[in-house]
Amino acid sequence: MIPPERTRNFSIVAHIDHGKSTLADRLLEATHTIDPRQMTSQVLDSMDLEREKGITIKARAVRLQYEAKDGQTYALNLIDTPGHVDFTYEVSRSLQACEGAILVVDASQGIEAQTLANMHLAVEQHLVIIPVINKIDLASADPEMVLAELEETLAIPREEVILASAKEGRGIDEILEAIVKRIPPPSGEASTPLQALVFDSHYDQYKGVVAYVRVANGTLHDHERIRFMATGVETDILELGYFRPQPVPTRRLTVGEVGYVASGLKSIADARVGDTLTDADRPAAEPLPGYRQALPLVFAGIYPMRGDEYPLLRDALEKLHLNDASFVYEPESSVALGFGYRCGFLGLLHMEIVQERLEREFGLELIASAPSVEYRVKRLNRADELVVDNPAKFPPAGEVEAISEPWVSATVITPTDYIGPIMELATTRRGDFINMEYLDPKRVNLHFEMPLAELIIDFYDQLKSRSSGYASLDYAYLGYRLGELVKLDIMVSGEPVDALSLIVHRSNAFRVGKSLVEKLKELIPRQMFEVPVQAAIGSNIISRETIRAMRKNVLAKCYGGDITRKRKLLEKQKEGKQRMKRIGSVEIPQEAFLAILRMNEGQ
Amino acid sequence: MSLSTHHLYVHVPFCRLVCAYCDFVTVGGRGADIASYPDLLLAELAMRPASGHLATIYFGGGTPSLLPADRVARVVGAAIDRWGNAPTEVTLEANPSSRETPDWAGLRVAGVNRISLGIQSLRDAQLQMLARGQTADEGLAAYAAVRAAGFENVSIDLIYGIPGQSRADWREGLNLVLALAPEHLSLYALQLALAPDEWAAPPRPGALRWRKRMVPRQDDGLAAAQYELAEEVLDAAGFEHYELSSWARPGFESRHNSAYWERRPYTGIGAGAHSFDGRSRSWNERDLDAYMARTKAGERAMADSEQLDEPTRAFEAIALGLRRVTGLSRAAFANEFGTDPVERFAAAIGEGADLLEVDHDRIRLTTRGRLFANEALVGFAP
Ligand SMILES: Nc1nc2c(ncn2[C@@H]2O[C@H](COP(=O)(O)OP(=O)(O)OP(=O)(O)O)[C@@H](O)[C@H]2O)c(=O)[nH]1
Ligand code: SF4
Ligand SMILES: [Mg+2]
Repeated sequence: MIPPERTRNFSIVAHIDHGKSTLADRLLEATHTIDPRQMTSQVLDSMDLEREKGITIKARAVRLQYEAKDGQTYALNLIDTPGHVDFTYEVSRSLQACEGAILVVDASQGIEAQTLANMHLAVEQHLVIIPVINKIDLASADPEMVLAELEETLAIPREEVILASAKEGRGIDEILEAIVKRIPPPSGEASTPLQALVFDSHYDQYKGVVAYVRVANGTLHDHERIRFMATGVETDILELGYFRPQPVPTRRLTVGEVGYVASGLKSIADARVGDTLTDADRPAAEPLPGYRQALPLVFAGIYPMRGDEYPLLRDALEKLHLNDASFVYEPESSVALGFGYRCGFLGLLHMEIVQERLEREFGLELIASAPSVEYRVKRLNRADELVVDNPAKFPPAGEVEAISEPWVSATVITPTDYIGPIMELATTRRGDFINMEYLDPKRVNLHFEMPLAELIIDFYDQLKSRSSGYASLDYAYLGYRLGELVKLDIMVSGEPVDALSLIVHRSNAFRVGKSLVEKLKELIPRQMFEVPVQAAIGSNIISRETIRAMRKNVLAKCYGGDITRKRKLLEKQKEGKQRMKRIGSVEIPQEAFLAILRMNEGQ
Repeated sequence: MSLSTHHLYVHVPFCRLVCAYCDFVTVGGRGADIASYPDLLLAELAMRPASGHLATIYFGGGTPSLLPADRVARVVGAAIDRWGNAPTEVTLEANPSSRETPDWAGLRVAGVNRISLGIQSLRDAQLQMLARGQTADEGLAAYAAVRAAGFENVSIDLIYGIPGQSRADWREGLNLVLALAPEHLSLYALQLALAPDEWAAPPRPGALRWRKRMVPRQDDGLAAAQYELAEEVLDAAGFEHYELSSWARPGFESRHNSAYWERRPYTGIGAGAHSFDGRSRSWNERDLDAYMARTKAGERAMADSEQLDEPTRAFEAIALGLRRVTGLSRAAFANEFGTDPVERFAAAIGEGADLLEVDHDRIRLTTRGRLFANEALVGFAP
C-alpha cells in the first residue's frame, strides 16, 4: 500500500495526434505495467473505432508503479485524454482528478489550437505542468522553434521542457522523474468523511454503472454503502478497484487515489459524471465542486433506413447512451423520413462517432439529417422563448419576432502565409475578427467570434484546405446572439419536405435555396406528372425548378423469349419503390435524400 | 392449337457490323464461325427433349439471314424429324444488305414462310444516327427481293424515338412502309437509357459512351407522340394493334411471339437462347465461344435456370398477358391460379388507376397505360 505522499495524479494533454497515447504506451512499458506480450501501440485506445481512426475518443485512467531514482516506489495515476476539440470536456473533467498535467507538443508542428486550450484548462485548475516536446526523432522536428514558442506564448521556461520521442522511447525516464519531483502529492484528509469525485463512467453488463473516481477526502471501502450526493441514490459497492489498464479489484481506495467503483446501478442518470460519492452512513457535509454539464451543440435527426428498424434504433441508443452520456436523444418523426430520434452531440466528430457506433456496433442502417444548432425563437406577443433544435419545428415566419443562435469564440493557429484566405473564410461565415497574436515570426493565433451554425458546416475542412493542412482550430461556446435568420423550406409539388428544411442567414438564403433545388431536380426521378421543386421563405418562393413529366415508360420487346431479364427489372423497380419516401404524390428515392443531406454538410 | 403445342427458337448470334444501340446477343466480325455454327445447333437440338406438337420455328438474331439457305433447311428438317410434324409458321429475321444477299428462294424451299425484315428506317440520316450499316435503298431492295421470291407473310421492324427524328419524319416513314404493304409491323422505341445498375454493367459495354451521348438527345415526349401517331395511322390503314409494339393485318399475328405472351413452352437453341417448359426457365451461355466449346464437348451449354414459384408465375401471367392489347382473361387466370386477378391484385389495380381498364371478362392497359406499361406492371411484381 503506497501512502498518499507517494501518489501522483496526472493527465496527458495535447493537440490531436501530438502523441499522448504513444507516450502513455512508453510510460506503461517503462513501469512494467503491461505484459510486453500484450503490448500494442496506443494500447489505451481500446475501442474499435479509436483503433481504426487512430484517435482517442474516451479518456482512460491507469495506475502505474514506478521505482524512482530516490529508491522509493510511487503510484502514478495516469489519465490519457482525447485531443479533439469535441472532447475538450473530457479533458477538463480528467484534469480535475489531477495535480499535474503533461503537456505534449509535436516537435515539427509546434503549438496548435488545442495545445493552447488544454494549457489554459490546466492553468485554471492550478495544475503543475510538465511540458514535453515529442517526436524529436522526426526529420522535420524543430525543437528550437517549439522551445521559443512555448517561452513566448505560454511563458514556459526552456529549462523545464523535456525533449522526447515517444516513438523511440527517448526522454521517458526524465518524464517519469519529473512526474515524481515536480507534481505535488494529493492533499486531503484520510480521516474526514468520504468525498470522491466521479470524473467518468462506463456501463458494464454485469457490474452496472462503473464510476471512475478520484478520492478527495476520506477512504472508500469495498462493499460499503455509498451515496451519490447530487441524485441521492444509495447503493452497495459491488467492486472497488483500479486500472492497469484492465480492472484490478482492491479492498480500499484512499485519499488521493484514482480508481473505479462498480455500483450495480442500471441507470447512468443515477451516477452522473461530476457527482460526489460519499459514505451513506457518514456522509460529507458538502459535495465537491462538480462540472458544468457538457452542452450538446450540434443536433441532427437520426432515422433508420428501414422503418421497421425503429425499435432497434431505440434500443441501440439506450445502450450506447449508457457509455456515452454526453449525447442526448428524443423521439421525433418526419414526414419524409418516418420515425427516428433528434440527437444532440458535442460536435461533428462526436456525431460521426455516435452514428458510426450505432451502425457498426448495432448493425443499423441509418440516415441522418443535416446537422443543425439550437435556436431560440422569440415569438410575437409571447414572453417565453421557444428553443428549437430542428428546423422543421420552426414556428411560421409570420409569428417570429426574433431568432438568436449560439456563437463561439474560435481560435485558429496558422502559418502567416494563410492569414488572407482564412480571414476571408471566416468573414464569409459571418465571423467577426477579434485579434491576432504572433506565436513566432512565422505563425499567428487568429481569434474570431462566429455563429456555431457556420462552423459546423465544413468550416474545418475549408480551413484545412485553405491552409494546406497547417491551420488548427479550437472553439468554445460563447452564448446566444440575435441573427438575421430565416427558415428555408424546400417544397416538392407544393408539399414542404420537412427533413430538408434549413435555417440560414438571410443573405445566403437565395444561394442555398437555388443549389438545393437544382440538386433535387437532378435527383428526383421523373414522375408521370410534372413536379415543381421550390425553395421558399414563408410564402415567398425564392427559387423554382420543374421536373418534366415522364411521357412514357415501356420495356422494349422480350427478345427471343428472354422474359427473365425484363421481369427482374420490374421486380427491382418494385423493390426500389418500397424504399421510396412519399411526399404528397411524389415518390423520392432514399438515395436522393442521402445525397441532399450529404450536400448540406458541405454547403 | 392444342395445349401441347411447342415452339422452337433458334438464335443466330452473328452480325456483319454491330449496331451502336444493340443489346442483343450477337457478335460482329466472326464470319468464319457461321459455317460451323449450324452443326452446333443440330447437336444441341439432338440433346434437347422434344415434346408436344411443334407449332412454330423462329430464327432470331443477330442476323439469321447470314446463314446459308441449305443450313437453315437442315435445322428446319432436323426439328421436323425431332418433333415428327411440320410447323405452320417458320420465321427468319433478315437484315437488308447489298453485300450478302440471302438466297430468298432457297429459304422458301427450306421451309421458311415468314420473313421479319429489319428495315428500321427508310431515311439514311436516321440509319446513320443508329450506326446501322445499311441504307434506305438496301431496305427497299431487300423487301422487293423477299416479295419477288414469293413470301406472303412479311413483317417489317421500324424504330422510333431516334434522336433528331421528328413527328413528321416518323409519319413519313410509316407511310413509306405502308406503301410496301407488309402483313405485319413491329415498332420499337429506341431504348437507350438504362436502369441505374445497368449503366455499371451494361449489356454491351462497347457502346456505352455512344449511349451516354445519345440519351440527352432523346425526347420521351416526342417518342410518346410518335407511338400515338402510329396507333392512329396504322389503325386507319387497317392494321390491328394486337400487342404493345406489334401490328398485323387480320390473320397475320406472329404465332411464335404470341406463344411467349401466352406462356406456352418453347425450346431455345443457340448462344444466349432462352427456354421455358411451363414451370422453369433456362438459358444458354451468351458468350459465343463458351457456347461453342460446351456444345462441341457434347453437353448442353446452359448458363443458368430458374424455377418459377407461384407468385412469379402469376406475375408473369399478368405482365405478359397485359402486353396483348386485348389484355388478360380473368377467367383464365382464375382457372390457373385459383383467384380472380382483380381480387388478388386489388392494390396494384387501384394504384394503376388510369393505366388499367377492368371489365367483366378482362384486364387490359388503357391507351395511356400502353405508354406507361412499366408503371402499370410494377405493382404486380412479387
Ligand atoms: N515519429 C514519431 N511519431 C510519433 C511519436 N509519438 C507519436 N507518434 C505518432 O503520431 C501519431 C499520433 O499518435 P497518438 O499517440 O495516437 O496521438 P494522440 O495525441 O494520442 O492523438 P489523439 O488521442 O487522437 O489526440 C501516431 O501515428 C504515432 O505513431 C514520436 O515520438 N515520433
Ligand atoms: S442487326 Fe440487330 S442484332 Fe445485329 S447488331 Fe444490329 S441491332 Fe444488334
Ligand atoms: Mg490518443
